[in-house]
Amino acid sequence: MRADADTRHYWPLLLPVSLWSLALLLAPLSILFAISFFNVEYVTLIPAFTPDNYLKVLTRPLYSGLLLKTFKIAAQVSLCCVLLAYPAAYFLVHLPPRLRQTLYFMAIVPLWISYLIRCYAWKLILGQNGVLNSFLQWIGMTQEPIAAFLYSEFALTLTLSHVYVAFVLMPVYSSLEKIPRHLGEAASDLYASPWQRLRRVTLPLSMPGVVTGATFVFSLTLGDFVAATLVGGPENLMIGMVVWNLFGTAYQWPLGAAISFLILMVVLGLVSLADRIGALRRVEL
Amino acid sequence: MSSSGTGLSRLLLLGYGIAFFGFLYLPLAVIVLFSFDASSVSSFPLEGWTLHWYRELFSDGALLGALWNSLRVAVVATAGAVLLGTSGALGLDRCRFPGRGLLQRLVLMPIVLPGILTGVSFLTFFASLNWPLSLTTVTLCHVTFCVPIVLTQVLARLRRFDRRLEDAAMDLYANRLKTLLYVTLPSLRTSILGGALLAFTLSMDEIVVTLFVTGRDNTLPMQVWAMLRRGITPEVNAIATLVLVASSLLVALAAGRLRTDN
Repeated sequence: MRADADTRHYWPLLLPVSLWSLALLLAPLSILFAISFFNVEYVTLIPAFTPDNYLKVLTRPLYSGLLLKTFKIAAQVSLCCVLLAYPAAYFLVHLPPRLRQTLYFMAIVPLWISYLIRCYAWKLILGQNGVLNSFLQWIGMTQEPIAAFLYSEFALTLTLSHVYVAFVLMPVYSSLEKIPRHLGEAASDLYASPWQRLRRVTLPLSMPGVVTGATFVFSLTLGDFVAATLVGGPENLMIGMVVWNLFGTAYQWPLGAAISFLILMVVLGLVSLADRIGALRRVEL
Repeated sequence: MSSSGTGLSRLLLLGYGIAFFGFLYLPLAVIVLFSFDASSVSSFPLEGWTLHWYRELFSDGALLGALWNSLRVAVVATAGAVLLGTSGALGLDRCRFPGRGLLQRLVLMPIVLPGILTGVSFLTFFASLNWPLSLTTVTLCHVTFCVPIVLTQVLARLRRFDRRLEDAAMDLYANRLKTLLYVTLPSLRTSILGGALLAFTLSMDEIVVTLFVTGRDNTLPMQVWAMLRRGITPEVNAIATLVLVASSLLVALAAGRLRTDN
């Protein structure tokens, strides 16, 4: 068997990456998990095995409320990204091949450009004396600066959608690209209107892409605190800012670890769920 | 465009496409525009062109120091990610054993993991080892999240690689090592380079993980973050513009590499 011979010859190549992942990914996560059961006195961690931290997170309105609010914002951002990216992917897929490649590349380049700077762009635009307000006053649309732009849930959702939209565009684009053209033609031959074709053929077949993208965006938004700090402001705290604080000045590592672990569980749960849905869809096709 | 319905819906779609690209790029264009504005307040109307803010950057010692730190971290992290990612991709492509899927998932996990989780887990890890935070700890973390970038690129290339080339080399009495070095690796060259460029870009731009595991030394994004928290200044626009240009060039270069591969 070739596979057996390959395994015998190539297994040493797996050693470096396996050891690295065990030592510098699994071990840190395990330690974080252990610490989430510890106690803390002043600035000393006391090893223990107590569920107190988890209970605190789930029962204190400060933490549970913020956790829920963060889920809500993550859901909003995922929805916005899907609504923004789907028609864009549809537009790209129907372009002639050369133009399509170039524009697809241009659509995903921003993903690789500094996340911090993309967040900053919106702070610059939405600020009280910022670009948008001064522009509106300059052309005479408004007399006074509108304070409501920055430091609002709207600003936060908008910024995060801009930051993460390509994460939906990529999988939706590739699932749209894979739909055989003749399926659409067959639907038309059977007197489906363009709208019916979109709803009954294209949308269902591209669902795995939508689910994958939305999962990515939801997970990444859950942990955000940079955008929240820059454009969300003090009234739109996200759970990530609390974690940042607990591990920084507040020195409440066990509590921070418990919150982090709850987020991790949600992320891993979602990813495996999306995986399963994706797998089911593939079988149907 | 032949099968996408009526003229009106095609026009709507085109309009949306243009609006979408505007949404993506206008915010970035605003930064570039104001980096050349003479006014020290970033607002309309513009008050004339200047390169003053760029000159300021080059006399900002802290910023240049941070840039140098970032470059050192990114170079070492990229090298580590290339070694681990390439060997790992070859191993995952060719070995079959129970737990292979699990290993692959573990290695790729940093892609879906919110940065804050990676950051806090590394912070507690280094603290429990009494390992002082420094650029070394930053580099170790960067390797961890850069490995999956290189690994996925190389793995994708290996899936399309024609193994008969290796058989041919071995029929001509090349041993396994020679076959690997002279046949397999050269055909992975472009995807390794592409992955390395992406990993380098990611490392240069990373902020969330770095915030948790850095010591006294700042990286470039952390220095920008510090400048931002003090308030919006035109210098931030200038450095942001330079970062935008540099990242775009690196990614374009990477994409060029990866495309010739296909």
